[in-house]
Amino acid sequence: MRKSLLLLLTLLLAFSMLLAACGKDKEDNAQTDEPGVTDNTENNPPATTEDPNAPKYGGVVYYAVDAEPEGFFEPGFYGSAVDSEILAFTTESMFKTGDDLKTYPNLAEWTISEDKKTYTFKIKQGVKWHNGDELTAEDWAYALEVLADKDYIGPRYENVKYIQGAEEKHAGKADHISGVKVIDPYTLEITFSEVRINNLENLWSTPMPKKYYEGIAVKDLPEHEKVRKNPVGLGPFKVKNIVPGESVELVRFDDYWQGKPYLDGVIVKVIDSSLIAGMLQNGEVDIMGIRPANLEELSSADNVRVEEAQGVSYSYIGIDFGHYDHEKGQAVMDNPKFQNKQLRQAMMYALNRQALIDTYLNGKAIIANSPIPSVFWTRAPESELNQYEYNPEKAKQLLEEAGYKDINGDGFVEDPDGQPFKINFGHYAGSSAFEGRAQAIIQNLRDVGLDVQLMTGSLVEFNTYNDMKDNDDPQLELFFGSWYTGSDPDPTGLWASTALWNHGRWVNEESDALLKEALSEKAFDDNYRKDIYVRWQKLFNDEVPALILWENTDLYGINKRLQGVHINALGAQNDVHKWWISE
Amino acid sequence: MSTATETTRSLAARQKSPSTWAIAARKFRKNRLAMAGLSFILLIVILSFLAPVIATQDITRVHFDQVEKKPSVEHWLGTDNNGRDVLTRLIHGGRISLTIGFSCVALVILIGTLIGAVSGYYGGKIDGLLMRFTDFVLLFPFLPFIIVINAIFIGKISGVWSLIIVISLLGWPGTARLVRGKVLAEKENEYILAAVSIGTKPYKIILKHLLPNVLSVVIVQASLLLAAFIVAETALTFLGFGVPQNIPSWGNMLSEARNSNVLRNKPWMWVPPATVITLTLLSINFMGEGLKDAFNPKSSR
Amino acid sequence: MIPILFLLSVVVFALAKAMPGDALSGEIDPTKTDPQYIAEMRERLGYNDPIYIQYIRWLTGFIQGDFGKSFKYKMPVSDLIKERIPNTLFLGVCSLVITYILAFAMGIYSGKHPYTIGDNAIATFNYIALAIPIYVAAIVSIYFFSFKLGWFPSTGSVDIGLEKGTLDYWISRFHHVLLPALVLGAFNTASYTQFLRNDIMDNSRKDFVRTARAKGTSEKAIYNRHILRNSIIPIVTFLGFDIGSILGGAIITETIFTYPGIGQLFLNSLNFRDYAVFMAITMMISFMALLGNLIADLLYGVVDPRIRLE
Repeated sequence: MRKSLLLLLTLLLAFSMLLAACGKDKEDNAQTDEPGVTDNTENNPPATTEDPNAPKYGGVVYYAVDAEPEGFFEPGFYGSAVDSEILAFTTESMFKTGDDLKTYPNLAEWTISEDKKTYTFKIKQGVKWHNGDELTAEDWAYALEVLADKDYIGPRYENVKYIQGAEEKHAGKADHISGVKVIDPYTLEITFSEVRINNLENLWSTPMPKKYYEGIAVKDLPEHEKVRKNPVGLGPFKVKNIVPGESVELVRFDDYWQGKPYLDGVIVKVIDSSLIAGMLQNGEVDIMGIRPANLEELSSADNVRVEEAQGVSYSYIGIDFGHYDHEKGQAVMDNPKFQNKQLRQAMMYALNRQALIDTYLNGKAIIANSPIPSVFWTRAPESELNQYEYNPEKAKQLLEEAGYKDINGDGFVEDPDGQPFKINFGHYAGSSAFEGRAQAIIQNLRDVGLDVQLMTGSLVEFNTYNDMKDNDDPQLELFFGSWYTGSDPDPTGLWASTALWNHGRWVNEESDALLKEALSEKAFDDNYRKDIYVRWQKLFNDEVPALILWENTDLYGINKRLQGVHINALGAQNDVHKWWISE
Repeated sequence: MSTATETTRSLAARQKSPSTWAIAARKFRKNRLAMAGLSFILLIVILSFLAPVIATQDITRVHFDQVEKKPSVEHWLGTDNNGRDVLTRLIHGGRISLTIGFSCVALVILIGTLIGAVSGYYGGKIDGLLMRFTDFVLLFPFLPFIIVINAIFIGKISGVWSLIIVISLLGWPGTARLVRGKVLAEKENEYILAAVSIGTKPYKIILKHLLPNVLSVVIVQASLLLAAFIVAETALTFLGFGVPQNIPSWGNMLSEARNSNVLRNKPWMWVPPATVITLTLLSINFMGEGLKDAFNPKSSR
Repeated sequence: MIPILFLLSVVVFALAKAMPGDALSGEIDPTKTDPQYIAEMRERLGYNDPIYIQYIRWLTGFIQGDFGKSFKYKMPVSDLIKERIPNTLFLGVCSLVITYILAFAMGIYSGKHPYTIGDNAIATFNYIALAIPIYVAAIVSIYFFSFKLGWFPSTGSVDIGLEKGTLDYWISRFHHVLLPALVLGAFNTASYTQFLRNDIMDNSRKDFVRTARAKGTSEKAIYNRHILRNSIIPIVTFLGFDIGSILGGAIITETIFTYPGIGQLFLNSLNFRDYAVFMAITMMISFMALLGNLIADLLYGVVDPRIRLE
């Protein structure tokens, strides 16, 4: 290659990079011009511009997520948490969850029949879809029919399963769900197969645009461009543009039923987790859920504020009691190793939970002694629960009382039969913080004399770890886990002896009975229901079938120019139509 | 007069003509950069093996009160996010990273040379078959293989050995090709034809005649591979398939930099491994260059 | 080529199924997924059938061009790939171009002026590039060039809000691809530069150069016609391999820059056990690798007449 040609090429390359860089400045200026400069304000009642604390119209907010969405803009088909964050901008449901995690009317109100099996819903009139069609009861009925359809492959059948006639439709034996009746365009009657306290919470409450989807077979819906590219929803923002895997551009829906939203639009961006702090600091991102590790960097950013809220997720250490019998659909406690209650309680006292929280979560979690997060109205008061404060001496004492003594002087206790007592502690792989945390837990337990070691010798790959939990791998004895409970206070799905997710395979008759009682007809009385749950939590707290560690605090990094954000235990996207920009 | 002839004859007798190896060694010694590289590598290797003796601070125990401390008298390179001494981990980590590097190189060279030599010497069908196999291994997907191997051997052998097995099983094709090429060329030489004609067995020809001549290329390749494998370990850690985190290695110490807070505000946690890796690579390269020069009869610097 | 690909598909399929977990084991959100759903889906997707039946099912589809459906994205794999491939190709090609231009420029300079300050500076820079793993390089360059200096965007393949096909759109795409392309190519740039430098130095010591000098040929002609042409030979074969790895080589870069391409898709399909996507991409990558091999061999023949004669 001639040298001169090479030189020319190199210069050309450098020049084009320079050009592109200059081009960016232009784009940047165009972007920063937008907030504040809006043509729409002419058509709308101007918000008072003198008072800086009053909401103003205009502006685009950049909302970031750290994983790519799967791209389903129809709530009936989404599976990932990221998609649900986008859907929070574009869709709307019949009921909403309040800050106390109870269900309240949103687009519909309801009355319950005498036998508590039939709910009659009255839907608001005049609510418009993004394409101008009006919302009717048909849309909701249609959504329920789709979810029960035998060709439906999404994960939401569970939310229509308890409606009378849904199983028949799901099995292909019926064309319609017999329990769903459209009385008139704004009234829907739903009859459930059984009386259940959480029939309402469990019920699918997001309607689908029936007219818009007309003619599309259920099995074709997930791939259809009306679900992927040009979706129609009821929310304050509608989809304008999608760059797959990277970003979604949303613009304001002027006819939103709760009034015109203040923002001109929202842009949802996917960014890598290592860039979170940087992008919040330089203003490229206005709001994002952040992790404790980001706090230190953001504390020096004066254009960002961090808001926190107690969330609905908690971490725990599971204890293996046996295995799951799939035929019977029931856990079987055939592992005698951890049957001694004092042994389990000793382990609780041995853990220095506050130190773990301070070191690995920057203090952003609170110690929990119940598997029901504190934001729930059903949570037992702290006075009724043993706090298991960090007390290694007490742990050692309990071990002795239980018969676990160090006979051979190696520093570790033997079991009551005098046999060596080794325990495996498993943790899944992830960041180095996970490794440190696992090590710290092992240390705490070893310090009171329990010979605990890391299962398999190192942190286990996530999928492999889940497999081990699901299949009751014999190596699993103590295992680290976390749960996100959502807004349903009922812990049956996680802790009942029939629950597949009860990885510890704990069986306790009283616990099962209490859980069932809390879903019965009498539990329609909130006080009665709370009482039952308090009793259940005290049982759990005393029996220690799992070592509950802490509840996470949710953190959000928000640019100071974004106002009107209301955060609760479920997230930051409540009433997004009230978000506004102050400059 | 007899003393003069005696002296010349005895002088001639004492002065043997130096072997290739001796020439190479002498040239290498004169090459300052190469010697510097060699010294550094030796230093690191010795330090790493003495790790249990010299770097005694606990690398497993978590110390809550000493998390992420800046370098100080007690902790020359500060502490990491679990309160462990960085310098200690660095030295222990060198052990692991170098073990991986050297083991993989040894295995890859062994397998690759064997296959390449046999393939090149015998030619024909054997060559065809072996080369097909080599191509196949080249195409083999690395990531799923390591996941499966890890899953199979979980708890039975350490994650470090899983990694070494997988890298070695998949990393030899390049060497095999190289050796095969060289053997193909050497095979045509007359001394080989001579050995064949007097009935020397093939394995003897390969071992005693071909390989020593091919060895120079192999040695240089080995040094390149060492560098490549050390780098590979760091890259794999990002994807989650490197050395398991409870065992310190340069790769997983460096992966802390993924966290932007560490990257920007706590350089003592990741700059040391980065520096050590860079210096190691430089040393390996200088050594490799030196070796290449040493074996090349035409170079004279 | 075909027999190898076929054999590979069998082995990869077996490996994929041997990995613990399947596409549904990731569904661990108890508030949203019901074990009954998981069991049903497993049956529907045929995961309970014996492996060879699953393989035959996949193979028959694959041969006919039906790559199956992605479980995660619930769309045909071919559509998914069609969406992402242009990004990766664009990134790969830009990276190649940048790599080769820079490697040539620096390599030739170093080769011509060995042991000077310039040469040593380039060498140092290159060794750092070789030692620093790509994800650290990516993050460092984002924080420096993007956040601090503001020269480049840090994420994505294009600015949202631009219409496809307009000049602005293309400028934005080019702008977004530059930093990832640079980072992606850094490692190769460094190795090729050093390689070229060494080759040039080697060749300049060869006998034919001495002859040319003795004959009185100008230094310039010696360099361009004799030394360079010989040094380029091995580099050109690298080009073949680079083309072969265009699809699969950018996994880490794509992840950090949130540049949605095949690499990221591949990694996700592996982690989420999305078998259809995983198999399709693996076969594609293997095919490209074989193609790259072929190209390398061809190029070698083109550039070195000695090989051609055989």
